[in-house]
Amino acid sequence: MGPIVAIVREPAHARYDPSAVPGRTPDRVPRDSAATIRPWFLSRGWSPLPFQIEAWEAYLAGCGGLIHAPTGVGKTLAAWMGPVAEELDLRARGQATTRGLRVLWITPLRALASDTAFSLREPLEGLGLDWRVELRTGDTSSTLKAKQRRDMPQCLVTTPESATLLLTYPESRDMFASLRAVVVDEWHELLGTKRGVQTELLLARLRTLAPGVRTWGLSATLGNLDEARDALLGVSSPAREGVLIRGVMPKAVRVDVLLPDSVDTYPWAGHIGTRLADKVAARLDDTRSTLLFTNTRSQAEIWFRALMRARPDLVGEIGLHHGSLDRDVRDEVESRLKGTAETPMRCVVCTSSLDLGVDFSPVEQVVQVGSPKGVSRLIQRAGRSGHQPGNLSRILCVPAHAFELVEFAALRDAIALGVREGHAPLRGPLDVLAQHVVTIATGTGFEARELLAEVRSTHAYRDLTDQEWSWVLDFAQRGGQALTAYPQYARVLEQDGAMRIASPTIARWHRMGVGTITADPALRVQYVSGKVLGHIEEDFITRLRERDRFIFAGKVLELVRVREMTAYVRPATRTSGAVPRWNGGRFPLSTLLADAVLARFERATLGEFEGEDMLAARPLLERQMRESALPTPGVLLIEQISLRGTHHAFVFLFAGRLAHEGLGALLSLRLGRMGPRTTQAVATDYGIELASDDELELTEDQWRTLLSPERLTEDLLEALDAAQLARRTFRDIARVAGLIRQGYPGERVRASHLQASSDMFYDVLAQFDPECMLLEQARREVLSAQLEVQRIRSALERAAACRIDIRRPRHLTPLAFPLWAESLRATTVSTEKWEDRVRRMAMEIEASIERDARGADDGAPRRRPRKLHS
Amino acid sequence: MHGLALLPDCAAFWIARGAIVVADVHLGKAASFRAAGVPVPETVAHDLSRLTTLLEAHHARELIVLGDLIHDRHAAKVEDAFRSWREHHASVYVRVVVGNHDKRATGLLGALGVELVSEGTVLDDICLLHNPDARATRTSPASSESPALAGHLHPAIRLHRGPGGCLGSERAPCFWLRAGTLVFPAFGSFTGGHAIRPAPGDRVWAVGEGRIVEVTPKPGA
Repeated sequence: MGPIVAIVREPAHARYDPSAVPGRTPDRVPRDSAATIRPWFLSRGWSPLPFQIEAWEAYLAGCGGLIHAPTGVGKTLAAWMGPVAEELDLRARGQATTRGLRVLWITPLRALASDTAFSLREPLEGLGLDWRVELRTGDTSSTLKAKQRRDMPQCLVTTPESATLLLTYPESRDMFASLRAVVVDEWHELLGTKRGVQTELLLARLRTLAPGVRTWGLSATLGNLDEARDALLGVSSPAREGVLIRGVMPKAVRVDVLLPDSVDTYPWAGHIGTRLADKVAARLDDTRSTLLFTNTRSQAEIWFRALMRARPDLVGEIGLHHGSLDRDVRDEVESRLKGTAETPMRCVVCTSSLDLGVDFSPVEQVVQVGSPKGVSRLIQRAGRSGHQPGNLSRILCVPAHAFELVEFAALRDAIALGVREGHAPLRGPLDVLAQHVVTIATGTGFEARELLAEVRSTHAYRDLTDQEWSWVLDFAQRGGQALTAYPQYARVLEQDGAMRIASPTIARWHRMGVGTITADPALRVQYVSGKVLGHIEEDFITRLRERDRFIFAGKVLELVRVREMTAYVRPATRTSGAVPRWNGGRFPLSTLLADAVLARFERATLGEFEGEDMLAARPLLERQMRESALPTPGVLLIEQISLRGTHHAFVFLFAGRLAHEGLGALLSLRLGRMGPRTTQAVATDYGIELASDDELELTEDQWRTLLSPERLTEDLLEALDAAQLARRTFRDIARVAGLIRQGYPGERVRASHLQASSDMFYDVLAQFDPECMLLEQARREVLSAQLEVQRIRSALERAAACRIDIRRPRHLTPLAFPLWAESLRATTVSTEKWEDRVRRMAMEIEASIERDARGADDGAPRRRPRKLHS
Repeated sequence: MHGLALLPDCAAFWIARGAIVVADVHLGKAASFRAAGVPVPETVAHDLSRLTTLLEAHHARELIVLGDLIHDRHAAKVEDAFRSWREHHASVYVRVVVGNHDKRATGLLGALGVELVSEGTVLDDICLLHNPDARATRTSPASSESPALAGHLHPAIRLHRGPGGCLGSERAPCFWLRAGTLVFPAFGSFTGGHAIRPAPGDRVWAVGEGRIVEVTPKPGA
């Protein structure tokens, strides 16, 4: 058992102490609120926390704001008790009216809605407030939905999509007129996504329909809180004051690391894989409940099987939860985790599917397999344990690769510094606006100038140009710009100065398409005997043949046949199979964490290995320094090596996998300009490998030319066949803008049809209406979201300021090996073969290093790699 | 399939007959989308001019459409546009296998001097189909043994980009030869494709960017 590394920085739970808050005494808390609410807290043996009181005061003073704190410290009550106190106060004065919606509570996950409603109802009973708290999500019955439209509850818990759908009814003006507060839960999950933009537009609409409404948001702590608040509250006006309230007691986070016995006993490439599964399995006995996070669905499947192998005695008590599993399967796991089912789960292996929500307090132990790739994600996941205010959050980190030991040390550094990643809000996506315009036309209808002012009051569209706005209106009315109007087309019509939906049929279709969530086309995985297991990407299944085996939902399955959009399977008799690699879901290393890792490397070059994890990684790091060097914040490491006639260059830019993918293509293109050669580029979070059968021996000057930030955008577009990428991005845009419908009435819903359709739209628009602004948006999204062009630019700017250290090691170094292995993976079809090849290669390197070592005289300094151009 | 030249514009030239063969033109499909409130630019004129180009480039005397020439005759301008196109090519013999979409337009097609033939019609020992699966239900010995040309499926093949598909994949319309039937890609500009799963022994030609490339999967790959 490896030693435990811990950092405890934040103070333990502190009670509200009025004298400790300067300028505030209990008497200055409005008597109306505290007096009515405090008894309820006292009856439960709690005291309100200072930040909760601060939030109620601000609410009662007419402010909106953003409350940020880790999970489980009482953010919900902080936002909820303001409106509750207000109502109690009005009732005490006999001014309250009973009917009408008062609070709209928006949550990003519908799975969260019922838990939220439960916690909102809890204090109401104790306080004797007869408010109805109801849900409205995709799961709500149409009967209840219709009833709600006639008679709203006082509090409605809903999702951004369901709330937006309410705007498509002409009654929306009346429904929201009495609204006092709208609360957006888990705002950090929405920020930076199109759902977030949709929410911004929804909030702007609510401010129009209910001018006095106060907007509140709940968020994890982010690196850009001011921006998060501005996006929530809209472009500030004197009437809209927004406060930022910090949950006063961030939970202390304790990061433990499960250390491998020795990194030397593993192939020195550092690939640890599931070899620590036995140690993790032994830890399951320490606690009643364990949540084990992996970064990808494939890893979840692999770890689930590894744990089952290690602990056959726990069969049935270990569960699997990820986004591709059928809703029923996930629901069962969730209820057993929450303890509402008869047989609780001992351990659930999950992905980010359980990152938020599902308040199954308390999980006693959280395990993170592999690097979480970001500080915020680690803290969020750690917050899953110790759910009471002031309890310690603990997370046990299990490296899947030896370098992740350094990442864990770096994560501790970042937590100690109190830094967090930010989520940059999106700017002005026209597909979302095009949808919104039709939504409002379907509901109340609108006057163009008024709606423009409302749209511009959002953070996302504050710089919307007149030209963009008129294109969006034209798109809704005529399909294209006035001159290229499409015959027989109308979605929105102008009648008596108001824009309204063209027909009830189109209104019905529009309602079916509200929302911005899109998924890759997926096939249903179903037993021949009938039971549905979940969904799997079309891409993976198309590479399988009938009778091939694969692992899914924790089971080894054999593909029987594919019909329409269903893959029929049966249990396989053999015990191994390919594990699907799902698209997406692999987070790139955050800039913050990458910087912290480089800083740790720098300390290692000075001989400083603080922490058990760094000590464990030390042999590997020293080997890297012996064979080559370590990259540091001021030094860009490039390794050049020839293996079996193929020439490789490894560039360690530490900009994250996504940015490296773009950079790989960029460097290949620029290399091609220096002279004809064919290069293949592969990316990981740490760097890029360029491989070529032609010479790749470059000087520092040549590297500086390759890595120049000049003409970056132009070169990237050329390198990446941007048209092809834009076509892929366009699928989501076409769906959001209402070109593609998820299911025509009377038409079978088929994702493959949808995919083809977006290609059809792209081609037909590119050819016949090239000015269509959605095409331009697709190109922009390719650059910003898919390629992280900003990150590529800053990586190149940093490289330009760095010293370049070019090394020619004799073997693949520990840093280079994972990149080399990744390039093998890219060219090899089956997973098993790939692992065999990697293992063989690692053994060959070991053997050759041993030969070198035997050849060297005892005590003589090891031959150092030739150093070039340093 | 002797004497059939596959062309990069989703068409084939039947050399012996001097005929251009296409499938699934779907004239009026874009218009029917627009009528349903989905903005799609107009494509009828463009697709008809592509047919003209093909006929002229090969000095073709005949046009064979393997079904679904007309998607929606009521859509704006489709009827007028096709009538006018037909008048300009009065010397070309047009033969249409009646597809599922054509059934509502037989009157129009007949009036414009188009020969409507039913599925399974054999021409010079070649069986003409719209739906390739229709043949399985045919009883005529001639049509079940001769090679066949068909449409209806809008076949597209998924091409993986980069080694091992690491850069993702894209689709290209394709010709698909399976069990003696050559399935044509859809000709219309706004028709889309349906990804196929070729079985061992099938042959596939992908069409794109003015080129046609055989992409038959290697056994065991």
